[in-house]
Amino acid sequence: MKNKIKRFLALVISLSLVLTMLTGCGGGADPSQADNGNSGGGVKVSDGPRDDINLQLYVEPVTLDPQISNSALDMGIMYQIFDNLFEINNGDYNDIIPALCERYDISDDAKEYTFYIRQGVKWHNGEELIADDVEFSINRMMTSPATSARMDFVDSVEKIDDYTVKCYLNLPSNRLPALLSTAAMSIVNKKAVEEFGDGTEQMVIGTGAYKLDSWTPGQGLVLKAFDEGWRGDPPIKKINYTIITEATAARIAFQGGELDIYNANGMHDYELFSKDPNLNVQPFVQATAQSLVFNSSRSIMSDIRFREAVAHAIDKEALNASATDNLYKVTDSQIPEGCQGYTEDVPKYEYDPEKSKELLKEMGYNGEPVKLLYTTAGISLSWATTVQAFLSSVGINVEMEGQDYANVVQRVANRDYDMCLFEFGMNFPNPVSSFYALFHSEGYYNVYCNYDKDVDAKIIKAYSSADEAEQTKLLEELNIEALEKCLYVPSYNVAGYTFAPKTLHRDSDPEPAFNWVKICYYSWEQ
Amino acid sequence: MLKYVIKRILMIIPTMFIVTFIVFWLINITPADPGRIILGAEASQDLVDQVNHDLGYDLPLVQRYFKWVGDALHGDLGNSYYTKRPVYDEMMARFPYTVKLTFLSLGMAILIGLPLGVLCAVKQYSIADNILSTLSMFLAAMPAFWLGLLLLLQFSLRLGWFPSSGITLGWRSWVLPTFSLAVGYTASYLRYTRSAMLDTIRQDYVRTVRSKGCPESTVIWKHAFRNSMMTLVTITGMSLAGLLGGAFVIESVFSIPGLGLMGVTAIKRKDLPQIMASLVMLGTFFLVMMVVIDILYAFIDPRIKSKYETPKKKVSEKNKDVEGSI
Repeated sequence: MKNKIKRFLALVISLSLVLTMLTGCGGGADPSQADNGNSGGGVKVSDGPRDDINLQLYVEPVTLDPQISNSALDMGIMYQIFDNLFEINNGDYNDIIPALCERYDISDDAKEYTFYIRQGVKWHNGEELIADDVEFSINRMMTSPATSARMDFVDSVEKIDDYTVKCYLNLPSNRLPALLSTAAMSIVNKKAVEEFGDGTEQMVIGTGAYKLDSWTPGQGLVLKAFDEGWRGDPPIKKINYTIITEATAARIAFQGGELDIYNANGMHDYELFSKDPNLNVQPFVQATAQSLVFNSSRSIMSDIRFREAVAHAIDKEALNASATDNLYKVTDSQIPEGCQGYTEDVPKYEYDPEKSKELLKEMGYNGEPVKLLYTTAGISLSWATTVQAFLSSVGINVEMEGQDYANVVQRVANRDYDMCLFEFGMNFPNPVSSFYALFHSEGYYNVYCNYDKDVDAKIIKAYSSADEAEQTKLLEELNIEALEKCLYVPSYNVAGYTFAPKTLHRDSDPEPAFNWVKICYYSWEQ
Repeated sequence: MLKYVIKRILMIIPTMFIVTFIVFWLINITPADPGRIILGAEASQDLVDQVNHDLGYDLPLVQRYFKWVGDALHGDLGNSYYTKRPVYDEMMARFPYTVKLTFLSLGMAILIGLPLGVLCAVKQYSIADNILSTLSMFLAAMPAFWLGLLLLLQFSLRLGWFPSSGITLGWRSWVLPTFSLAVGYTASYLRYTRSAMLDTIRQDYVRTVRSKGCPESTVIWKHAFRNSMMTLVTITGMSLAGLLGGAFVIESVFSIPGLGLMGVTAIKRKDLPQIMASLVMLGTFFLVMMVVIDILYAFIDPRIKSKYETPKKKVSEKNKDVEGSI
């Protein structure tokens, strides 16, 4: 009896101890409560003047070489270190302003550009930027696998004198300055690349407001203000990038004041932080869209009735809620709003499971298995399981092929799938190149395996046109045609919310396609 | 004894050969090739083939494996397909953090779990025994990842005592990660020690030692505990693999720049040099620790040590007796 009482008491005490620990599980800080003497918010906001900023990297950067990297994360860092010939003014791709290029001339046929390089611009190693660097960089953009596809309309580049460079195009285009404003098209130091090689840490020498101070593998990077920069001294002198891979740990770091800018990882973050009076919230929608694509060269995928049946079987709102917690933005097209070629007149496939069943019956679908390829990580997995559930409900027999990223890249390149989750980021500055990649028979991203000579001709016509209005009209028609054929079922655009303290001011909007920001335009309230 | 130790160390070599070959084969039979992964889907097949050729990927698998072995034996573990940096340098920058976390956690588990296990055994059925045994059940069931996040919320965010990520603030940076990883193993050590001690305490020789008037502390620590150590050394060996794996998880929670994250990323990217280098490093470390465990057995238990004495010595001693009798 005594032993039984002892055991009971022991159980009660142990449970109490465990429950005490569980009080650490909560919804996070309550924004309405005062916290550690700071002004009423759930997030700790530092007091007093500051000249540094703490940012998160959710994965280790691979390289900081603009023409080698194909990672949006790496580009965000390069955006601070390197400059371009042109710059996006206040986040508007239609408002391109000179940067390293002081001014430029364009020939009447829009096939020759003359760039006049800003004089007296210093590299981080003290040397001066000259035309040799620009010529070298543009040649590199034309030959590097990561950038060459976007520069395929540029024929050659020639140095005229120490501060003048000429570009010759094989097709007329008004878009070259916009294209040259993107992070991948940054100007690199010719000597550094030739001496230290592609993709090395030593070649990371730019003209940007910040230079690479240190890179500790696994921990992060530090950038320090370049005091001889052509823009002058930036208000923020130091950028600390810390690698925090775990989403919850990043949120805790932001709440604890260890990070200054935070991207929401779900609507729970939005609901928590949007109520904080000390924070600014900025929504963003990226150029990247995720869609279900069909390999229309395969069996029943070639039948438009099957593709339409799939499109009608999926409730996109419910899919977005299930896969992304409503963080992303539902879309009716792979071409995002604001991009040339976007139109609201695309065919929309409403959620209609009965219509879906009718189409399947009409085509005589007998339950043949259809394979769905996707990457087995995060949102992709949720997306795939939700899509399977929708398709199963109308009688489509889906075989799941979840694979790791490397295998999916390989299989997409080999067009080895029936249906797959496809993610693509539009080239906002020069969308016609993205249309070529997606819809032309020889496009490297013609994941639909749609080979149509009329479409090819239209794309080439759009590519060859220097008339903005004509080009826009052609791209919109291509956008509509792709959905009339139901080559893919659009899901959502990658989107989210960025939170930052109200004491952090910025003088320019982020770059729209990938939400990059130039920290030199930011400052702390003093 | 020395021969036994040398033999055990030499056994590491064929074991590593088998393990590395199996992993090399498994990685290479997956569909993706490194050229495509490095260059992306938009690169032309010619470029991809060129990169694969430069990396030696178009050679037969066995040839590639032995080339890798040859280079590794010369100290060249290759360059990462992605970062282009020597994988040896990247590994040596990270490996110490993983080992440090593993040993700190192991140390904590032993220093706390062992004495508490002894206490529970000596004071069996007491209130302390009941509380600790019950509590250890809960703690052993708690996933380290989850516990780590709880600790972050409480001690980093709410109290501000420890940093939430990184290892730049000295000893304070290691407290929460160590605690997160060690708690489950502490609970296991407690339970195993209690169980082993209970078996030993009930033995006749312990009663004999007590009856001879030895102080209780001597009875417990010098006689009973020592005879329980074999079990605990075995558990330490078994725990090591789990601790290394757990360290990988904790590294991601607390952003510790160890091998774990690098290894997982390398697998996803099919960065073969990094995968193989991580495997060699961790595999060798684990096998060496197993050898150390085996050697510890011999030191703890003289009966095991005597098994490895050479037969010749015993024969000559026997002959001595025979000669003596003649």
